[in-house]
Amino acid sequence: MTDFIFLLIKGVLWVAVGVGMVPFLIYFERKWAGFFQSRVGPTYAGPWGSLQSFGDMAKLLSKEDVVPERADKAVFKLAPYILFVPGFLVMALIPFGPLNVDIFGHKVDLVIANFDAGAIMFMALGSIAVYGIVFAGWASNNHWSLLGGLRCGANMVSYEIAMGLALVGIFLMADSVNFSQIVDGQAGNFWNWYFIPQIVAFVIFFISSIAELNRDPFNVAEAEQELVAGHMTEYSGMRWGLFMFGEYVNMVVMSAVIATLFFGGWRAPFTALDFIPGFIWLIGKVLFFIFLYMWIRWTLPRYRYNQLMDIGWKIFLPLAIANLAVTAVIVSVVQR
Amino acid sequence: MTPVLVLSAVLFATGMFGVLTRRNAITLLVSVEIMMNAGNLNLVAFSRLYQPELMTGQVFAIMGIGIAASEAAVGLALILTIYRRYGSTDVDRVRLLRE
Amino acid sequence: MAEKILFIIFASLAVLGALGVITRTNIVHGLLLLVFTFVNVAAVFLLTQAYFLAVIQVLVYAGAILVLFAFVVMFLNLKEFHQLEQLHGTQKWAVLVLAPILLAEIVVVVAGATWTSVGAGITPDAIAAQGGNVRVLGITLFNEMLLPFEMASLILLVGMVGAIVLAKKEDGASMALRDWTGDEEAAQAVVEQEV
Repeated sequence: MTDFIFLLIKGVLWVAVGVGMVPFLIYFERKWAGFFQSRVGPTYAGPWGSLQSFGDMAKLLSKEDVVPERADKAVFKLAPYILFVPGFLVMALIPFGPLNVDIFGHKVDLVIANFDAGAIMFMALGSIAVYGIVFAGWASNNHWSLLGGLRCGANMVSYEIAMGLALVGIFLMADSVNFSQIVDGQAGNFWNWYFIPQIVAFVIFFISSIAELNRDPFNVAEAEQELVAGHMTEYSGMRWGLFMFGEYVNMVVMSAVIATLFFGGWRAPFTALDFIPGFIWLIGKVLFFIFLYMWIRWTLPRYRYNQLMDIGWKIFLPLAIANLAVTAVIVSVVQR
Repeated sequence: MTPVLVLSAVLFATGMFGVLTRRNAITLLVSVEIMMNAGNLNLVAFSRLYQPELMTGQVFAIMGIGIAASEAAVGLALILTIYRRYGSTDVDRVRLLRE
Repeated sequence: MAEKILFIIFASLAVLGALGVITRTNIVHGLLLLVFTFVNVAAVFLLTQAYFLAVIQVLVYAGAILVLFAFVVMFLNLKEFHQLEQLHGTQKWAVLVLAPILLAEIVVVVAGATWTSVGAGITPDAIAAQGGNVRVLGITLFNEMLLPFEMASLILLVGMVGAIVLAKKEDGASMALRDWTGDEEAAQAVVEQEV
């Protein structure tokens, strides 16, 4: 019974963090966008415009919910949920502390699901999220939407391959595909973290993750200048809000995964700083990567679609395979 | 493991029903995928029954999934070719074995 | 007990999804239901402690193969699918009789057999003691199953080449002509002549 209660607490905590961060992330994104473009960003709602996201939310909730007449209504309504539910599921796999911690006399694992094949499960759930966008594009019965959905599908499937191959290097070094054991493999000070030996994999994974999240410079699915708003063209009100929400939740999850795989997860950069709880370190790292995503989004222009495919298939895929081969040789030599 | 085998049987029969009754080539292929999945379930169940420590059945199921991928690719390419030639994916129209 | 309840839930959802797939006339709805079915089958894999297989099921089947289906469906004319609503006339009745008979036969064989169950004692802990499902599976896959593994990769290569050759719009002869001579017009003439 206590196990169940602890499970519930952990679940509520993660969901609260994931959902609770979104309004603030949107606010910071707008403020930073203003900063990068020499503007001030939102200022009216609340001090320094800090209530802007809540105002937006109230607006979206009170707007009329328009479902196009010729749309496939069931799929149209289902699609936004397919996008963000897998994101929440990935959160369950991410450890935010060591296993078997003593809390009030109970042994508790500070991870919701210590799943044996966790890191591959993350890839699997990511591949499910594709359907949210592809079917949103199809169900809208609109040429721009369909093009956006198809582009996004091709984009995500292509970059998933490079991402997966980049991950295999990590698996070889950690000798495991379990997130908790990958974090354990990075114990010690920050020079034990995997981003140093696996810098190639990190670069591939990070850039591919931008493509996977459909953010600039890879947001060919949305591509305002070409496709109006891509798969979201026909969505309005809170259904559009769900897409926006899903995008930010997925950003939090992707940052947490990158922090776990390459930057020691919940571990402190120096063992001397271990007295600060792991959860805070993890959130700090997540915020750092979210900042990187925003920085890149507001700095770089969008790639053309064929350039995007070229980068994925002709640069990242061979590079990831080369990285995998080199890592395999080195790991096998060191282990002998 | 018997319930898993029954589930596999039900899925296989469902897929077979789809293959034999539908006229749309894509639904045919989709039904074949359901049948292959039932086969994989069977492999896993029997592996757990007889050789739980070796996992040979699970390895074969992985092979099955890999082969299913290439089967789907070739099948879909065939459907595309049929669609270009006949303007339809109705399998009843595809009767000639020549061009 | 909890596992039995979960199995019944996931198994019935998988069967319902599969029934939906073969009865829908809207192929996109069918595909979504197929994704649903495969995810539920993956959950059944989880309940039989085939963790890696469950993940591969979602990653490859639901994630990759069905995206391929979705792409092809979107290339084709969707209006036509609604005209294909009726089932095969004569085959339908034969199938309605024969498929339940097949099902009954399999169920009778499965339920009637006495399995010498060796695997009942395998718990998650026992697998974890050997280093986890993924490790044991990998060792099996890359030692005694190495030859089938390589053959599977060969089949995938053949499948890939075959799919590209079949789906390529351009005619092979005209492509070769253009590649050798660099003459676009002559190649086009070959295409038109064949049409």
